[in-house]
Parts: sequence; structure tokens; C-alpha cells
Amino acid sequence: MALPATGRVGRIAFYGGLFALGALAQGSGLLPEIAYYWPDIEYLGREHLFLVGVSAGLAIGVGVPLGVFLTRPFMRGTAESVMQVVNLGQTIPTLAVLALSMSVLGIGVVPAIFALWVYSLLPIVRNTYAGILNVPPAIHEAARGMGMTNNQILWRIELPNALYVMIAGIRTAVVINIGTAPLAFLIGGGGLGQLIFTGIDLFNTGMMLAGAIPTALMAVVVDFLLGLIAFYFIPRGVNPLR
Amino acid sequence: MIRVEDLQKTFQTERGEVRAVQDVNFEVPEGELCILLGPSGCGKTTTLKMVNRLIPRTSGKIYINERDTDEYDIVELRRHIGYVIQQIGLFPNMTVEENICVVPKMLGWSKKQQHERAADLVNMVALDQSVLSRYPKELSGGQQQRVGLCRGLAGDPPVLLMDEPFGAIDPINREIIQDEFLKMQADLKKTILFVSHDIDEAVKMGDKIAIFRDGKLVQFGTPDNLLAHPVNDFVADFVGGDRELKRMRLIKISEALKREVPTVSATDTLDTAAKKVEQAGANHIVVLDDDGRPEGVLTQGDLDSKGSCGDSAHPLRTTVQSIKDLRTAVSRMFTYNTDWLAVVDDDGKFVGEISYRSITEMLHASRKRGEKKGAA
Ligand SMILES: Nc1ncnc2c1ncn2[C@@H]1O[C@H](COP(=O)(O)OP(=O)(O)O)[C@@H](O)[C@H]1O
Ligand SMILES: [Mg+2]
Repeated sequence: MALPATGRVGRIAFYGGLFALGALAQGSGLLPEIAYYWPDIEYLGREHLFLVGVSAGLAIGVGVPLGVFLTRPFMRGTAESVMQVVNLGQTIPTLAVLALSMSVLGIGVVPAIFALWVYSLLPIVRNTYAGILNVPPAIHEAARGMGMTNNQILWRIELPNALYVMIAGIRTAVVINIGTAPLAFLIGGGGLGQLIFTGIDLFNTGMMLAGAIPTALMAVVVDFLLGLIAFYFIPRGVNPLR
Repeated sequence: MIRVEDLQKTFQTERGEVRAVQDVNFEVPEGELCILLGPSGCGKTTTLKMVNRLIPRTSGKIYINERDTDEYDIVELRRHIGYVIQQIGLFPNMTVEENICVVPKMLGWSKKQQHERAADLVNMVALDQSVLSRYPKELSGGQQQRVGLCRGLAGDPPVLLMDEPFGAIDPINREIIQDEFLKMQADLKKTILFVSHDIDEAVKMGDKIAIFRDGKLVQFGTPDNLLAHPVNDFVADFVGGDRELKRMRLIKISEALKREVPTVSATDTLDTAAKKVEQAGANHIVVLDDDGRPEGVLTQGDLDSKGSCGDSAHPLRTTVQSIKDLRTAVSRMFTYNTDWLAVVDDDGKFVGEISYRSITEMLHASRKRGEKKGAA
């Protein structure tokens, strides 16, 4: 998995950028200006978290079982084609997904959550599917030969061994979700996008940063927390980090 | 007991049919270890996996304890057959203890029973108790293979299937594990099907050997029978040009030694020794100490002078234990450039002598017996 590595590089770059921005903000007197929007940040931040939490939660709730379902023996013939479609879905631009969602569900929170859900679903399904298929055949055979039922194999062997890859997928999905959520404002879903896009429209840099910086911080913090979970929660035997 | 009747397996592949197993019949009695032996691709693994129904049969029957394996519930069947796979296949997400206790847990043993079982088993394969809390990735290949063996034995199954269980271990450690396993089997008396492609392993471990070629069973019998009477050139080639040397491994010195040989004690006179040598028509005589341990040897040249045997005896350069095999005896004869050895029991007491002659006679006689049995 190249994911943790790119994640680390990305994070370092991000902290660097953040520091530079902070310095710039202080120098140009932007910081007080951003602080001025604190009540908005708090309110919209909560909306943002709500969008992310619900859509990512639903994506996990649907994506993991779907990924598992695709690995079942009776799906062997069709699973690959489904994954092709899933991968294709990932290449559709976010805005297009939002637009499609709006054209079907109208405007508001529901179409926003739907679009974010679709977008986070893909990495979760893909990683669950790949994680389970990557469990070595020998391990599978040993489990079957010892008389484990299919259910026992799923819960005791396949899921624990795929857990690291699955959580990596969830991490990717949630971080992308947080970064994409500002677009929800465009279809009336609220969130920190309101400050960002309004700020851009009004050429108000302070306002824009008041939306952008908390969004970025949220992504970093959530990614960090999920990293902690991955580190401590995944058994040592299948945890490449330990 | 495992009985295989008219077993067939044909795989349908893109390149056509592969007849992996054809018309195989054999029976392994209760408590015996049967080796499935043959070159790579001859159908050993396929045969093995049809016993616990990991591979469905094309036709034929397999009985375990007189009951058709088709009649068992598949999960129940597998939980009562220990399975040790070629690739070890330990579960990476579980500790060694959890790995070992997979079947006991499914059989509903208590936590305490499970833990005790795991502790006993690692002890039995000479691993330290500290491995119990480790994960498979923290073990060497040899250690993993031992754990795989423990896992196969954990539910105390009456029947065990083992697919090249010691394949991943270096030759030195393999010998050690084989010895440990044989010791265990002497106590446990499991009915075992054991896949191997190594004739030496087969001769050492097997009560019976089934030699396969291209999916067919070409010969089934005891190791000695196979070595002494290969049914065709294929088997003869496979067991090797040195098959008589391999047979020597199968026979204990105690079976071939000559017990009625003259001895004297250290305090006897040389006269007494000379008389005994003449009577027996021997060319040497072993001198024993008070406890009956061999102390030295007198040869014909030493017997002409006067005095006690103890004073004139030459020290014995080596002795051999009667529980060792003939191969060890011959090897020692080569090492010490001698054509006979004094044989002792576990306490070091003299029990007889073994010579080249007695060995060749023994091999020949047992070959004759085998021929008669084969003809009958
Ligand atoms: N799943 C399978 N599909 C097609 N052919 C197979 C399959 N499994 C085994 N074979 C073929 O059956 C033959 C016997 O294989 P196997 O029992 O694994 O041999 P061995 O264990 O003696 O090395 C080989 O020719 C092998 O290629
Ligand atoms: Mg094989």
C-alpha cells in the first residue's frame, strides 16, 4: 500500500503550507479578520461535520458489506465488471456528481449528502474487495480444511486480515469527503463551503480563509485520528505499522 | 482407518481434461502412518484433499472408520480430521495460541482447556512457551511449521492429513522434527496420510508407503517391501540405486546381532580364553568387566602367552547400541576399519556382536521372506 507514504508526504507539505499561510496571515493582518468569522466557523463547521459524518458513515455502512458481497464465490463472474464500473465512477468529476445529484434530488442537505456518499463509497468498496481477495489462498484453504463455516471464515479470517487495507480505504474516503464537502454549498447543502465560495465571490480573502483553513484542519485531524485507530485497533499480526 | 475405493479425479481445464487421480485403492489401518509418495504432479495432494472433501471426487468412495465420508456433515468431518497444509497457512491475525486453538474453540472447549492444550502441544514440538503470545510473522519458517503441526493436532483428531509438513524446514531441523513427530506418533497412534516426495522421509516415517505415478497408485506396501521388491523400473528408480542401504535403516541392530558369542571376564586366564575361542571357531573374544560391560578384546595372537585376560586385552575402539539401525553399525565399521562391532544395551552392558556377514545374511533372509509373502 503506497497510501500511508503519500499520506505522510502530503501531510508534511500541508503543515508547511499551513505555517506559511499563518505567517502570511499574521503579517498582512488577516488573522484578526479570520477570527472575526469565528461564530460562522463554529456554526458552519458543525454543519460540515454533519455532512461528512452522515455521508461517510453511510458510505462505510454500505461500502463494507458491498465490498464483502462482491468477494463471495457466487459473485466471482460479475464482481470484476462491477469493480470496473466502480473505478470508472471514481473518475467522474465531483462537480458532475453534485450536478447529477441535484438534478435528481433537488437542492439541500439530502442531495449533498447523497453526492458525498457516492463519492466516498468508491474507495471503501474497492479496498474492502481488494483486501479480502488478497488474503492468501493457503490461509483460506487451511481455514476450510479445519472445518470453519463460511461465516467463521469471513469474521475470523478474511475481515481481520483485510482490515488494514479496508481502514486505509476508509481513511482515503473520509479525507476526500471532508475536502469535497465545501462544494455542498453550491447545491444548498451548507457547511464551510459557504465561507469559501462567498469569500471568493466577494474578493474577501479573510472570509475565504475562514472557511478554507478549518476545512483543511478538519481533514488533517480526522486523518490523524483514523491513523491512530489503525495503529492501535488492528491486531499486531496484520499491522504493518507495528 | 481410512479406506479409499476406486478413487478418480478429473479436472476440466482450458487445455482439456487432466486425469489427476485414476483408479486408486488402498487402506490405512487404525493407528498407522501411510506415506503418499511420488514425483511432483502425480496426484498426491489431490488424493489427500479428497479425503476431507476440499476437492470433490469425480467418482469412488472414501471411508473413515467404515463410514462413507459423504455421509458426514462436511464441517463435522473436517473438524475431526487434522489438516496440515503444504504452505503452512497460519492465520496472520491470530497469535500462535489462537492459531492452535481454532479447532478446540469450535469444538466448544473451555478457555482453560484450550490454553492447556496449546501449552502441551508447543511443549511437545520443543518450542518455548513464549511463542504462544507471538504472531506468525514473528516466527522462523521452521517454528511456523511446528505450530502448523500443533494446530493440526489440537482437536485431538483420530485422523490426520499432512501435506509435505516438513517441506519448508532445512535438512538438519527436518530430521529433528521428524524424530519428534515419530516419538509423538508412538504415543498418539493417529491414523495418518502423509504426503511426501522424499524417499528418505518416506522410509523413515511410514508404516506403509503408496507410490504414485501420473495419478495412478503403482505400489503399496511396507517400506521394506518397497525397497526389497520394487514392482517395476519406475519404483526401482524412484527408491534409488542405493535401496539396500536404505533398507538398513529399517532394521535395528538388535534384530541382526549374534548373541551366542564367547566372552571372558578380566580375571580369567588366557588359557580359558584360548579354549573358548577355539570352541566357537572365532578369531577374537570380548573381555567384560564385573558389570558385564565390554572392556577390551583379545585376538588370536594374544592368546599364546600366560597371564590374565585383563592384562593382555586391547581396548575396544568403539561399541554400538543395539537400538540403533544397521546403517549406523555399518557406518561405524567403516569409520573404525573393522568388520565387527561389540553391541551394548542402553546400560552399556554387552549383548552380542554384529558383523558385515550377519548384516548381509539378515538383508538377504528378509528379502527372501518378503518374496514368499509377495507370492502368497
Ligand atoms: N485445480 C486444478 N485444476 C486443474 N488441474 C489441477 C488442479 N489441481 C491439480 N491439478 C493437476 O493435477 C495433477 C496432480 O496435482 P497434485 O495432486 O497437486 O500433485 P502433487 O501433490 O502430487 O504434486 C497435476 O497435473 C496438476 O497440474
Ligand atoms: Mg502437492
